Amino acid sequence: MKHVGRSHPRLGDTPFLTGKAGFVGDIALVDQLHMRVVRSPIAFGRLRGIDAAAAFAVPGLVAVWTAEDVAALPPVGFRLAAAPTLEPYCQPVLAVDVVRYVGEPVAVVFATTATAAEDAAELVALDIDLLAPVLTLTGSSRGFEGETRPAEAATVRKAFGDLAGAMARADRVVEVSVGLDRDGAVPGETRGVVARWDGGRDVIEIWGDARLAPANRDALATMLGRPLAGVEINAVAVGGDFGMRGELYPEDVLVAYAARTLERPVRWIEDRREHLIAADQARAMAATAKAAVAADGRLLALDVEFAIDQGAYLRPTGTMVADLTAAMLPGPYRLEAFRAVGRVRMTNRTPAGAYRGAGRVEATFVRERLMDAVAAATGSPPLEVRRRSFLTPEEMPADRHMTTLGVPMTIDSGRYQSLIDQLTKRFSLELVHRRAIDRRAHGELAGVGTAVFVETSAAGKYEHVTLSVDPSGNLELVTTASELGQGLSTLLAQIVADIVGADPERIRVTHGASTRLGDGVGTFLARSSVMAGTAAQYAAELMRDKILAGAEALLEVPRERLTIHSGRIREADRHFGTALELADLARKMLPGGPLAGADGRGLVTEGWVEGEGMTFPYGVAVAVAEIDAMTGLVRVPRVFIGYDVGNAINPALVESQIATGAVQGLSSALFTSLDVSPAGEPLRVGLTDYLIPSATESPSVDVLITEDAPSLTNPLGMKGAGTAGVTGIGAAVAAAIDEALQVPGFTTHLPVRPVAIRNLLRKRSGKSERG
Amino acid sequence: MRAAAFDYHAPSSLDEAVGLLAEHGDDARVLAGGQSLVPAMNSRLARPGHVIDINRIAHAERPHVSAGRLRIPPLMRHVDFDTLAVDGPLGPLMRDVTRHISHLPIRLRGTFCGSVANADPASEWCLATTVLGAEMIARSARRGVRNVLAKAFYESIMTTALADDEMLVEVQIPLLSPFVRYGFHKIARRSGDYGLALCLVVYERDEDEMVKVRVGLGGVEAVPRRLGAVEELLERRQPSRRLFREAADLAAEIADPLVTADGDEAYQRDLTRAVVTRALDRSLEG
Ligand SMILES: Cc1cc2nc3c(=O)[nH]c(=O)nc-3n(C[C@H](O)[C@H](O)[C@H](O)COP(=O)(O)OP(=O)(O)OC[C@H]3O[C@@H](n4cnc5c(N)ncnc54)[C@H](O)[C@@H]3O)c2cc1C
Repeated sequence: MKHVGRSHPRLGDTPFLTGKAGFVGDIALVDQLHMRVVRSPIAFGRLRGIDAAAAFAVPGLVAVWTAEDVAALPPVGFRLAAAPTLEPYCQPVLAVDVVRYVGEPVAVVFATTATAAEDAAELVALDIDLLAPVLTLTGSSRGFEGETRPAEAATVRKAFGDLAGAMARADRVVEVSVGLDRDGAVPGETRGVVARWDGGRDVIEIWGDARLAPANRDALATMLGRPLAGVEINAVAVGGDFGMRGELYPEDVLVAYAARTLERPVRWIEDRREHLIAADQARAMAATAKAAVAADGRLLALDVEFAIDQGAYLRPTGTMVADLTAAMLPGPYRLEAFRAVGRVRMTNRTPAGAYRGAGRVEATFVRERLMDAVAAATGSPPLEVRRRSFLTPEEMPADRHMTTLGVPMTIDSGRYQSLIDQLTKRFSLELVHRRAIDRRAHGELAGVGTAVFVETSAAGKYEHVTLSVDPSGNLELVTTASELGQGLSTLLAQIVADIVGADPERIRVTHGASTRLGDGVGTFLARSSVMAGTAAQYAAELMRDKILAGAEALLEVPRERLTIHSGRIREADRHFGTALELADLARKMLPGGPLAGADGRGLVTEGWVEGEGMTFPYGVAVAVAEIDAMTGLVRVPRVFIGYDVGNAINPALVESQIATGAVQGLSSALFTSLDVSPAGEPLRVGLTDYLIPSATESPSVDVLITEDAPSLTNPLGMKGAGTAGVTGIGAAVAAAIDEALQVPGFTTHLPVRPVAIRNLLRKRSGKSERG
Repeated sequence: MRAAAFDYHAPSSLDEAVGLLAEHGDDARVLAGGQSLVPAMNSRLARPGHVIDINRIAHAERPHVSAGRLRIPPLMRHVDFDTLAVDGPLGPLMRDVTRHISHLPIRLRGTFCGSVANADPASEWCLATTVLGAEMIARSARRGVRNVLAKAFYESIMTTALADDEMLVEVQIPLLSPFVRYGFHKIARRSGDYGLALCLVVYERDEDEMVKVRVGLGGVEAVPRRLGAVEELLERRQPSRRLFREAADLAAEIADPLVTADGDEAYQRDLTRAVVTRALDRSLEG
């Protein structure tokens, strides 16, 4: 039976369902110390002094460290998109002289219990002279009191074509000003890390999120001045990553350094309040976008200026979000000319990093709001405006004449209009539209909105896997990419199973252990299935060859006449009888043995892929919105998403990625934002203030997965799917709200605030009363 | 998110509990369901030196009826109102209201008296006790027992008439006439959240008219309050959509809203109008 293309049940879920999975909080080591971070309560100020004397009265306190104690450690550097000009924006592991956001680590205490650590941390007194904080993008151009680093850390510019010419030829130019508020991933499990120095081996062992184990191992080793072999990162089960977790944070460095220096295991588990003020945030941006539109309604050019609220420091992802935002702005549309200027602006807010859909969510919101504005300005239906300007299948692959993250952008394939047509048909969207019209005729505020988006996946230079068969006939695939709950292990097992001829249940996927890894990059940008999947495919093909070569020699049957099924090697023309069990073959092919194969390694193969470029999956998001006129509260009962994934190795996994992403996107559109007071103090510090939608508020999500545009960059034609659900929702919900209110262009910012809707309706009813 | 150190006491009688309160005064807190106190302690917003856990006190769970009043003891949980606690309209009213409080796990532990003592402006029970004319029975070791009317009990946000050494030992709610109709409505961002606005309406039907009308508003102002002017407007009138709209407009006008991170004054008035309209509409259903 073929496994690829089937919704094979997820492998490895049993430990989660039976409570056996080990999370970082489950790790307790003998003699361990608990670390607690003393965080700045002030958004911007000069750090005059730190008095820890009182903390030492707490029983169980072992050490208090401030910047002086960690002077040997460099600031947290870049994993991506580094440049020397960016170095002043790197975060020191503990604040030196200046504090730049509420939540910034200023000191750490180590104690024998978590409670003692918390008690002691409270008693560390900070003497801070207040400076005027810069909290908004509009404020940030003004600059910061006493700072030598410019307020704009970087400017990303991308362009092609003759913009001035296109603008001059345009029949009209349509402009919008839009923006997104700050939000964050806020997964179920907060951050955490445990480290121990094994003096016998002189190795610092680390347990925690291993999404980027190789990169983080290298970065930590460098920061701590050790050989790479002197740092090991071990993967644990993770309760949600979404790009927020896994990047190197000051806390990770502090825990590792303390384990070595104090010569005791050190554990740090973030609490929810810390998480909401100190973990990476994302999304905050503002943009002004112009579209040049021809007389026939086609787009000629886009010209976009945007600014990203980067917060107080740059994170290891550098300027990636700004770069991707700029690159993804053109989306699925044909353009003669394009220009994007993205400003990475510093503020006295928590540093911003990458969050599921980074750059694509932002770009999609700006572009699709602009497309709706074009529709309103030209009096054409929104879908018609889009149809006119889609790149057609005949134009693929389409060179975008720019690079992103250093890679030239060529859209590999896409059939955009066809996806809209299929989605419309599959879920009778005509009827959904008609029903909304009907409801409006009855005085209700209901609307439907659509957003079209292009995704990107599989950036990242290389990926390596090792595949082996053990003497019992079990297979093991070792990969650098990590299982974060997305189902990667299942997907890789399916790919290997088909090629090798084994049951997926017999294939164990080992991920994220830096000690056993070859060269890999990890998991981000929805790249794992494509990169690790292709590497797994190569390794499996080699394995099949080796198995057949071994069987051929052993059975003296030509390999053309052999098949492998469920780990049994048979003669193809015989229906009965197993010629050879894979386990038997594996034992006969042990390394060094007579049948060990040409390389002498036995049943061990490797798969390696290198920079095969990016793939550009695409999708359509349709949202239905209902507004309660009296309260301005918005409900989104239904969402429809069409997505082309090139080759759906496991459709159920793709669907669940999309559905969960859709709910996260809805959350940012209606419910969640990480607001601060005028002094920069976070207002959403617990899950009663930060309103994650529950099942009751979540829409039903209907998903259509197509495989109409396989990627040309990898043999299986795969495209990533990890971020697809989240990308289009915000723009679709905004459009649905506009339609419900019958006010084109009303929704310029997310999340939509009920107060703003009420302000509009109040004005409107005031007018109608007077008129 | 770990509470600061405290001394833990688990008295087995009310006498013992109020004795401990007398001894430790404002450094002590009663622990009932813990659904408000424990989170406050874990975030160190509350740091009592002494916690007096009343959960071991016997016979403090079941309500009883005497002298025309439902008498609610300190350990009666929100969920206990899910099955009818009393005959007549008060039973279904309390059941409908309790189902709006948070989620089941919290209703299983949180207590009626704990909500009343906690005095959150958006608490369902603070509103219900105000509208239903409840009496709070406070007891201290030194001064014994005193009764406080709901109206005088809620002083401001999270502040009641209870003295530091007093425990709320019972809440008494007058039973309702069989002719009573009621309507409750809550507006919240998510199911299970504290309400942005709540309204409870209670009146009797006399032929086609509404009499003894009581309209209470919660969540919008610092304490739940009966809206006298709105009650007067509705008294001895026949219910109609038009009248209800008029009443809701008046409520919106006379409300004295708190301004929150999520809503300015005008918005709070909008919420008031919506919640009062819907509670009134609901009183005609079923
Ligand atoms: C997520 C969440 C959502 C919630 N949503 C709602 C909601 O929608 N509506 C709502 O009304 N409530 C809500 N609550 C609060 C919940 O109803 C609590 O149960 C209630 O507020 C307090 O009751 P408790 O028994 O848990 O009291 P505790 O937490 O034990 O105590 C609360 C306070 O009252 C004092 N106290 C308790 N009992 C007495 C007594 N007998 N005498 C004197 N003082 C006393 C305590 O000392 C403390 O100061 C929510 C709570 C949570 C965690």
